[in-house]
Amino acid sequence: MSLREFLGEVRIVDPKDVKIVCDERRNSLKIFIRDEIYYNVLPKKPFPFTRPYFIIFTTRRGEEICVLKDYRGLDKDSIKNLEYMLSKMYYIPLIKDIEKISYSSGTYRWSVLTDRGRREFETRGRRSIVKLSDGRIIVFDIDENVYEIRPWLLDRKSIEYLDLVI
Amino acid sequence: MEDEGEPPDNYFTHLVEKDEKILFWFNSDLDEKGFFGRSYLIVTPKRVITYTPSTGYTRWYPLGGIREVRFLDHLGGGEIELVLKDRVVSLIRFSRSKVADFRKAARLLEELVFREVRLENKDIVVERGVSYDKKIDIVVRLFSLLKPYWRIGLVALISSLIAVALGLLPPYLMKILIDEALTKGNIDLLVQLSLYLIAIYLTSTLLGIIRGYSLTLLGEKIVYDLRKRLYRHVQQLSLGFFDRYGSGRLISRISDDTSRIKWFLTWGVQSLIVNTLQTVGIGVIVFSMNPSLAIFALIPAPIILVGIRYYKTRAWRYYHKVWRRWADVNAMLVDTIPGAMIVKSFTRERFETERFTRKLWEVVKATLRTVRLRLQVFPAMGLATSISAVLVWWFGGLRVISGEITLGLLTAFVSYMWQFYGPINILSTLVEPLQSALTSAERIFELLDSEPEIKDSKEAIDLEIKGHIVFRNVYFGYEPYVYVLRNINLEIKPGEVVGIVGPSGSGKTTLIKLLLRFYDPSQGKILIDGVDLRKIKLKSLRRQIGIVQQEPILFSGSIAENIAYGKEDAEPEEIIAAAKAAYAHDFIMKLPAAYDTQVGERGSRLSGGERQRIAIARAIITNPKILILDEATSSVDTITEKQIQAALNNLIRGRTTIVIAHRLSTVKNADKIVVISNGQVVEIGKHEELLERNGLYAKLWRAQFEEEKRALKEKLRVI
Repeated sequence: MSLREFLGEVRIVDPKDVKIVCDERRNSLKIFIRDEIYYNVLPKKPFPFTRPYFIIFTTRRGEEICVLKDYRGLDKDSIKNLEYMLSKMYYIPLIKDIEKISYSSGTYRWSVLTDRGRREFETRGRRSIVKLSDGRIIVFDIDENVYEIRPWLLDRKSIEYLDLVI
Repeated sequence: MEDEGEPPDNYFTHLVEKDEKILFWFNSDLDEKGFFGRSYLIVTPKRVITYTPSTGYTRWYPLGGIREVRFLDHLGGGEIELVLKDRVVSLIRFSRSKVADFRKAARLLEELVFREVRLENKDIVVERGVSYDKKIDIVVRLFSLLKPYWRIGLVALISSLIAVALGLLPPYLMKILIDEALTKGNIDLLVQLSLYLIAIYLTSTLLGIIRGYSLTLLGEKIVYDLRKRLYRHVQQLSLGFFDRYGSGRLISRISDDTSRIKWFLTWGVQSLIVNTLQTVGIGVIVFSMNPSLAIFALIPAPIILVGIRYYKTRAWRYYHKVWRRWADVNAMLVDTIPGAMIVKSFTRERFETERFTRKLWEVVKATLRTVRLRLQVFPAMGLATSISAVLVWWFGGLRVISGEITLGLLTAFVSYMWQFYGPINILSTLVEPLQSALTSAERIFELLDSEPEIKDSKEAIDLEIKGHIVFRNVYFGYEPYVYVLRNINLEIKPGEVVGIVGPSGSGKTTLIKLLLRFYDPSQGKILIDGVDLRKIKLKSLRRQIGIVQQEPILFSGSIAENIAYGKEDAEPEEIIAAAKAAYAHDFIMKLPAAYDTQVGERGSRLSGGERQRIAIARAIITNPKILILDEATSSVDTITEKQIQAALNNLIRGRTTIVIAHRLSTVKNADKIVVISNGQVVEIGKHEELLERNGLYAKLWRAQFEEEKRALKEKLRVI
């Protein structure tokens, strides 16, 4: 089978044909695709860091419904509803200031200010830090929490601390 | 053939007839009785001769009378045996050091006898040492690396030379200061000289900074260029080169050897020039100031030179011993810390602790030895220099008292004397790193000069492959005439699934390497859609062949990057579609970062089955016309194998597929099964046909079936 045939199995929909509302009773989404309605739908990001606007919608049982290549094409309300759900499923605080990074016995201890408040966490090893091709940095702490850094938003002191670990 | 004591061209002429050409020869390190000594195996188109020069022992056998050539591996040595019509004879014996050479000799002889190939001396690689002329060439090429950055080099050199000249001034100014300013109470001169000295030290410091920065900049630029050039070149080389060189050696060329060259071209050369000039400059000054005092100053020179030489010849050995002892300690840690469970389960904690303590004590002993060596040499050198200084003060002082020389001159003299030994010390330690930098340069240039064996010919074309493959009379050997594949004739029709089976080492994977044109056949040809492989552009060919290996190699990066490796511009939906086809999408989506999950070095964070499915997705995304599955399901458990098999079935549909299988069940349903043994196709047919034929395939099938039955019984017994 050629890739083209396999591609046929991926249902890509136009954001203009999609409406999303919150299904609060089921802690999920309800989506309308033209004249179809789907209840109890969950959004998933297959590329949460590199293509955060690419979404796959599935049922609770994991059956795939459709794919949105860029959800920013949805109407305002749909975006708001979708992002509300995504913000619970993908919790990635953005680090705005690094107050201190100290090192002890193979562990880095970070004190940071994020867009969700102040936080202290620990990382171990170089693999806990991933540099993306667009310059952003993803940090995984030892408890598998995820943080995002946009170095161009940091002040000089934070950059100097960051240089200690990357 | 040999890298030591090669005999002259006419060395064997008395052994052969007038028109009998020597095809090749190998030398052994044992004689016919097994004593250490030199003997030779010489092969001509008619005969094979053994010859021991020291005893004159000579035997020869006509090639036509040889029925079999046997290579025998013994403990501590080896032997080549010939099976003749009526007897078996021992042809030559050798130690283990010569095993590789004679293994090659045996195969060459076999080819010559049974295939009647025409061998030439040029087919046998001869390695030689580096000649003097070549060393000059290396130095010239090495300096050519400086060319693009000659301005930076010049800045560094000029700043160094000025710094050397300035460094020679202070003792002389001190002489004037003592004799003219202090003794005669000339305050103006005192101030003036002090200001000169401040200016000199200030300028020297500035020049030091300029020199340091420019040399570092120069070094980094050169090594950046060189590493980039080397890496680009290595990527262009054929797979055969990687096989011969080995990845460890290549990595060492790109990282370690380039660093040594960087040091040589920057600090090494500068240090050589600066310290030589400084030594000569100070020497000239002290002799012109007072020749008789200069002789006292030179007294420690021979002691220092002998001392340094003594130290250097032993230090390398002693420090290496320390490193080796540390390596022993580390090796033990690497064994026993991860293996703590085994140590504890056998209650060997005390044994391991004692073993570790002993190794640790070896480190202490080796370190103390280096300390003793240092204490033998350096204090003595320091003492000699100090005594010589005292002698200069003594005899110089007597001359100052008698008014022959001034106090200022003596002070300046002693000052120069102390400056004299620094550069001598540095120069004597430069020889070894300079030598090793030259060796590194030679290795790097050797790598840069190697040409890819496999490249596009001028008439090579882009071909839209349909998938019809023909192997026609193909012979191939990694070394000339030592064939791994012999007379392979095989036709695979478009869309056909062909299984290739055979015992380990029978040549299955080599067949695939030829199809991918990692190597060219020694004889015969491979055609795709009727076009000789050598006439298809490499990029066009390899882009249309997908391969899934037994141990798939993934690169550091995300899962998405690994799947898209074969198609740079892959759209995200294509990545997902390929993963779905490879039955990988579900497990990927269960990972928190899904397709953005980092796979770790070589995919270490994924299981074998997961890696395999990602490799299948990587093959699917390229949409290959020909697919090669090299033992793709042999390293996974049965459940994973089923998932992978389903993924492979998706991949195979509509493509010409070659499946190399160890587990024969994987190729049971193939359109055609090709059985290879000892580099030759011995059977071709469908599964049932081959079983009926009761040949090698049937034997392998039964052996595997029995093995699986036995394993199952064993499992049931355990349960």
